[in-house]
Amino acid sequence: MKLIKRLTIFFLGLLGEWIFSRYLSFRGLNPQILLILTINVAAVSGAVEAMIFGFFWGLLWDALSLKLFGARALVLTLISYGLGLLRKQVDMNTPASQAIVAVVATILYRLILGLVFLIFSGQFLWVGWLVFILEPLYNGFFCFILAALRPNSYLPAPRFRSIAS
Amino acid sequence: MHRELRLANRLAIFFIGISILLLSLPLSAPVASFKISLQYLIDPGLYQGADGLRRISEIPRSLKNLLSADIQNRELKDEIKMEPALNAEIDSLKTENDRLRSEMDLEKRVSFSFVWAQVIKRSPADWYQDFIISAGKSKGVELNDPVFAADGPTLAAVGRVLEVNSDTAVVQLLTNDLSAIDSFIVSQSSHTHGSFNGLIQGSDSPNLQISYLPVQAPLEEGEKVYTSPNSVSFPPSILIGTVVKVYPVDPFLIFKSADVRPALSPSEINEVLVGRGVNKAKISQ
Repeated sequence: MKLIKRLTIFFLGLLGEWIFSRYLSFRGLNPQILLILTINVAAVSGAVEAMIFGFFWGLLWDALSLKLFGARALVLTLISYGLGLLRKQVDMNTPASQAIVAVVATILYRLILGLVFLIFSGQFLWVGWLVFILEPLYNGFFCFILAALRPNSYLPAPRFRSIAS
Repeated sequence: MHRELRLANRLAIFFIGISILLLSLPLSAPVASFKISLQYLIDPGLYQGADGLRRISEIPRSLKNLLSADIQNRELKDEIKMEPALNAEIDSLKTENDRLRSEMDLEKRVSFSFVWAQVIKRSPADWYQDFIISAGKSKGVELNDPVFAADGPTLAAVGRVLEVNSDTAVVQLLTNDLSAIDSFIVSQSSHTHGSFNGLIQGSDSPNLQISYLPVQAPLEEGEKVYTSPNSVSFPPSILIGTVVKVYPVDPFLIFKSADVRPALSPSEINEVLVGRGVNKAKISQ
């Protein structure tokens, strides 16, 4: 049952990203639904699950975008891993904390993605100042809404343990 | 906890490794195909949308074609309705012609039937010499049968059967340098009206040559050349071609000659009609 729920979330996430990027994009500005969901999964369920979600979301989104195949998969995996570690240090269960994490993660996402493009295609992927500045705020807002709605009832409750435990 | 961290580390290394491997691969054809297939599965809207747009844009053209086909259909139906009347007129003209011929003690007109055949082989080396058609003895084709082709609504002489096999036949073209048939020109000159017989010969080139025309024949370019009633192989008054060049009269010769462009070039001929029974009828006369 959990698997079906996870698969449903996986494909709904893809659908959401597709709808927002295709129909609700304004001057290239749209919420990074997959990144927001990855942050949410990492906050609630940990690095392992977030990495699995992030890697496959990234892979499929790369396949759809017809750009560097594997770039988003790599970046979302790295962010999931980092958030999984951060989760043990910071309380990421509140909407506000998730929103702040989303703002920082979006900036990192854009920078790392740009570097990956620079390394593998020889050109930094720059989205423009408008998107670079507003997108983190936009993502933070959406992440706040998502965390407030708490669509993670299938996931286990967050566990606060020290990194040394 | 350490177990979860170890698992996260291993999974991170595995996924990062896979990602870097995918990034390092050149976008070769299989990867691009895979991506396109995946994109089609996940996002078929793009393809369906393009296909839909194409179909919608083709609607006016399809509708126009449908309407023109309907108009043509109606016209052809009207023509078909006229056919019995035309056949009746032809029959009555034939009967009248036969009656008048018998009253004038003239020979009966040659009657023959046609068989359709396709050109199945032509050799570049013998382009103006001959070709092979898809009808032979099995369809009643015989040696020296005349061969025609349709030049629009007009029937034009093409050549004669040179060799017959069971299912194929070799056609000697009029442009063949060994071909010679009796012909006539109906002069449309403003000064003199009349018809002149001549001999049409091939020269293994696009044009034919007509010779043995009377020196006084007022020949002009653009005049039509037809098969002569004196021809043994061909029925009379079948179009051969058009005069394209009239040679000046040679004072040492007693005849005039001209170049004739065949009504149909060998390159234009794909289907032919073989006139069966023309020779028999003519020889019996």
